[in-house]
Amino acid sequence: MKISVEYLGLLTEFNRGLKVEELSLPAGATVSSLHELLIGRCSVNGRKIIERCSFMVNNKNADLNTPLHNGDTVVLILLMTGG
Amino acid sequence: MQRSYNGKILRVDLGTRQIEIETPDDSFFRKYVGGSCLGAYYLLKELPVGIDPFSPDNLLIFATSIVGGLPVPGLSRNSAVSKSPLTGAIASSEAGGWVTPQIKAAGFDAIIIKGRASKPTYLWIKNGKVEFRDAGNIWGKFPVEVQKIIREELCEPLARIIQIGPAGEKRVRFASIINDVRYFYGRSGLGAVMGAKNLKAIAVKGDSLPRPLNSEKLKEIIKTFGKEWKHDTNLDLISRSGSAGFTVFQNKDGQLPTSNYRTGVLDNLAITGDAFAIYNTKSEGCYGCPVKCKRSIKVDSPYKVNPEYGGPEYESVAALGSYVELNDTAAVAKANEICNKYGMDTISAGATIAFAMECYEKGLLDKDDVDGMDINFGNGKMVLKLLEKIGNREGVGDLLAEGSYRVAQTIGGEAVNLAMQVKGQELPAHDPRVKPTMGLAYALSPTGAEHVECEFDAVVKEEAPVAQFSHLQSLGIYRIIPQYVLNKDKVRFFSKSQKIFSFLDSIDLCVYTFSYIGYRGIEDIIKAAVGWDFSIYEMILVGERRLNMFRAFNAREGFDETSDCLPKRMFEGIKSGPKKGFKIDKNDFNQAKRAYYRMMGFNYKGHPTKGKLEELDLDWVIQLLGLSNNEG
Repeated sequence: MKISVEYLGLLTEFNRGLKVEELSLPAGATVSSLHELLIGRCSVNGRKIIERCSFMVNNKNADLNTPLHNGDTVVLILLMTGG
Repeated sequence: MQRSYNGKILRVDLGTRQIEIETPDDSFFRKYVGGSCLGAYYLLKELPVGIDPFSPDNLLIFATSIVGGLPVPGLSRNSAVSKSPLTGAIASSEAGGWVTPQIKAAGFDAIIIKGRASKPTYLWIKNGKVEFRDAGNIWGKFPVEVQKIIREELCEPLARIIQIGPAGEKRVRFASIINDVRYFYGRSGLGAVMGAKNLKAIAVKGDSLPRPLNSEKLKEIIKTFGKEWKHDTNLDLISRSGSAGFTVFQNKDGQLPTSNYRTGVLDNLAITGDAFAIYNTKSEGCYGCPVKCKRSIKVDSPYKVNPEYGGPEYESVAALGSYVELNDTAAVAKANEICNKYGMDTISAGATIAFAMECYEKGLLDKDDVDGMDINFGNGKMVLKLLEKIGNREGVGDLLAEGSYRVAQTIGGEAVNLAMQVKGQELPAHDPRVKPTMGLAYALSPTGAEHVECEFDAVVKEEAPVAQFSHLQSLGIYRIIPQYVLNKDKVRFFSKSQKIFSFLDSIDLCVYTFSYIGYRGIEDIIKAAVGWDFSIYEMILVGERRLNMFRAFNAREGFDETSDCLPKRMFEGIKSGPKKGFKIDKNDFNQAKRAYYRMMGFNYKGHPTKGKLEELDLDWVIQLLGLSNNEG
């Protein structure tokens, strides 16, 4: 199946400037599968950034167990801490 | 003995023009270390109960710490402490910049100001000497001009200037204190206290910083930070985008407080970090810090924004933007500049205007109440106009200058529930309905709604980075906690991290650089600077000591468990967006509050108890509160 992944703000810097990309995942994949895929292909810094993110699927809250389906849009949310 | 503090507290009485220098012993500095812990010691000990914050008897204290002013990233900060005219509670507000090393080099660790000058005055503090100088020619003027005039008058182009703007002079209850024109002791209205003292500014300069015990070790620490800090995700992110870069994520996730906290989404968000970056002239940082998280903004049209006043950070973007539905980058930049020029806290200013707008929308204020204007959400020109009116206390601005709590009390009825405040201080821009730990922070902070009070929920959630979790394990947080719950685990997480943040405000270490420096780093810095073996345990003791003195101060002023509350809206669902329906369960909140009191050793009113005060070596506070053996 194919899903779209959207990168906002400074996350584009860690993804070769791409704001949106289409990724292929096996059927039955979850947000956790996507999380692993993104972490696996990142630099050390990029990986640390991805670990700081939560996910939204089709504009709704998601967690690592949320199932993904063909045509879904996933947005990475960089969680703010500090001031 | 070589050490990074002077051991000298400067006392200035503006009324009598008397100067005293106090020299507490080393054990005092080890026990209270500095910042708002040291400030609370003097305030609690010396302030009469029930005093008007604008009275000459109120104290205004600027305190550095035992390690403040070292060229270590994050140690450029100092604290201003007083009784707040906004809350009536103890107030502490910290600012970075370049002034701390100058206070130290001038020969002092803290400055305690009492009394009221008979006419506008500024202080000139240089190398252990203090001069009272006429401020008649700078009263009413804006910070950039004031700084220029003072430096020229003194022939000291490198003097650092702490000052108030016109809002402080006019006692706007959320007036800030400004240093170096673009760094702010923003919260709780301390600028109004300074204004009530007729004190326009403090110019400070010194030629001799106290020498730390082991300069070579400190150089090594600084060098390592310089090489390594970019590998710290928090610092890397904040350096790249400034905190304004987070606005887009907050909004997408439905947790950007919008329309006086009714919703979490500002449609078609334009006020993003990327949008502000177009106007950035440069990245700037505090003394000794390579991270440079601050931004300067220059706008030429349709508003003219002077970059010298600095650019808006996340809190200001939200408060002056989404709170009032102002989705216009240039207008938000201008609103930020107006607040900085007049010397007003951006959070309280934006939140008070948002409150007034909702009152107007609901018919609780009519056109006649607001100088014949239409104060609708989203009206940029109106926001700018209102800010200037508040800064000048002109027309409706005179009313709004009292802050949302007092205005709500004046209007009465439903208006009381529309003021997003705790203890009279307006809510920062992290929605407790999405970040329950912030709900605890806002409700339980002794200074009123405050966001730099503890770690955020995200650092203990399921996907939290291992390194971050490891840092929490050192505090005794052993398991992850789902992000959106408010349970006993969350309270434990809050109370433990609050103690550490309380310690950070005692040594005045920036929370951003703390993420890299960590506990071990602090131990190394203190060891190198003053030679003490300062453990995490001792850090927590200092943090607790500060919190207990803060709570003791408030207890004497009549604050109790009913003051540790949240606005009614926090118990109602967010109206729209991805977090629609998110709310705090009132029963969960009340249970969490009681659990917090138990964990902290407070009594059911949230007051310090005899046993806890004895443990913290604060027997003098026991006497002050008149606690008997049976109490607590």
